[in-house]
Amino acid sequence: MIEILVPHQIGKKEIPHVELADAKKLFAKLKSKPELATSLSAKSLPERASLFKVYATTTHGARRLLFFYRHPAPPKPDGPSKSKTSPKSGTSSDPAEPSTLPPPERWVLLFYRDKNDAVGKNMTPANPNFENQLGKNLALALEDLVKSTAEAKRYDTY
Amino acid sequence: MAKAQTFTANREATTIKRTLSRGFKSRLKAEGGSVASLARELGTSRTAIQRVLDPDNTSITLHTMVKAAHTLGYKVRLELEPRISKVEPVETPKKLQPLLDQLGAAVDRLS
Repeated sequence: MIEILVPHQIGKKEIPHVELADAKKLFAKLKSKPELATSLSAKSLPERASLFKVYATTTHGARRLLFFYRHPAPPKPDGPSKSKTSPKSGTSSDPAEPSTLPPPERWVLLFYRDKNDAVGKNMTPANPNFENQLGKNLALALEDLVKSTAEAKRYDTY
Repeated sequence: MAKAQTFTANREATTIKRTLSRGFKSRLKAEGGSVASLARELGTSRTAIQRVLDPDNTSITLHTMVKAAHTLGYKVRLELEPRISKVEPVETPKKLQPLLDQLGAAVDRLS
């Protein structure tokens, strides 16, 4: 499962109000293609955190989205003696045992730019505008996520 | 690249036409109408109506499709959907790595 997180400050700064509906459709489309996340995980990146760019076309024109992607933590090794799985049915014998659903893949939106924008036209470290803006947006996203509480979330989930 | 785009466009056009043709056919059947009766109402030939109802014939003008839809009591609504053409990893600027790590930790802490 994929969860797309849009920190409030990033949403306000990056997504123009008139493009919000298009952005939501794009997020839904990304979520409906779980193979995208799988292909990214398969690239065996050294760090668990990475960035990736999405090339999209909306009714407002070509857009470039940048996401921060957190690879799910590798499962903790479990001793065979701890296993409570029934060998016949393959299901857990303990009804109180928590669900073993894998954790969601979390993608954090960092940029939603026009293709010809100073940042959107070249999202690589070679572009000083990109590096500069990325630093600022990372700080904003971090601030929103760190200050979020269960009662007052400072991000939207799609 | 152009070939791939043509292939995708053909597939999309066929899907749209199939949906419309299926809708028209079922409506025509429900109303007890026929190709000939629809042709008379639209003031066109039976061959033209057969083209409208052919799920694989995508060479129909939008005007004809809308006219047929109106006659059968439908309204055609077309909508443009955003498209994702590519997803690729981006190299992380080295000096921003600490910020990325912090953001990763913050994401992990979310319930």
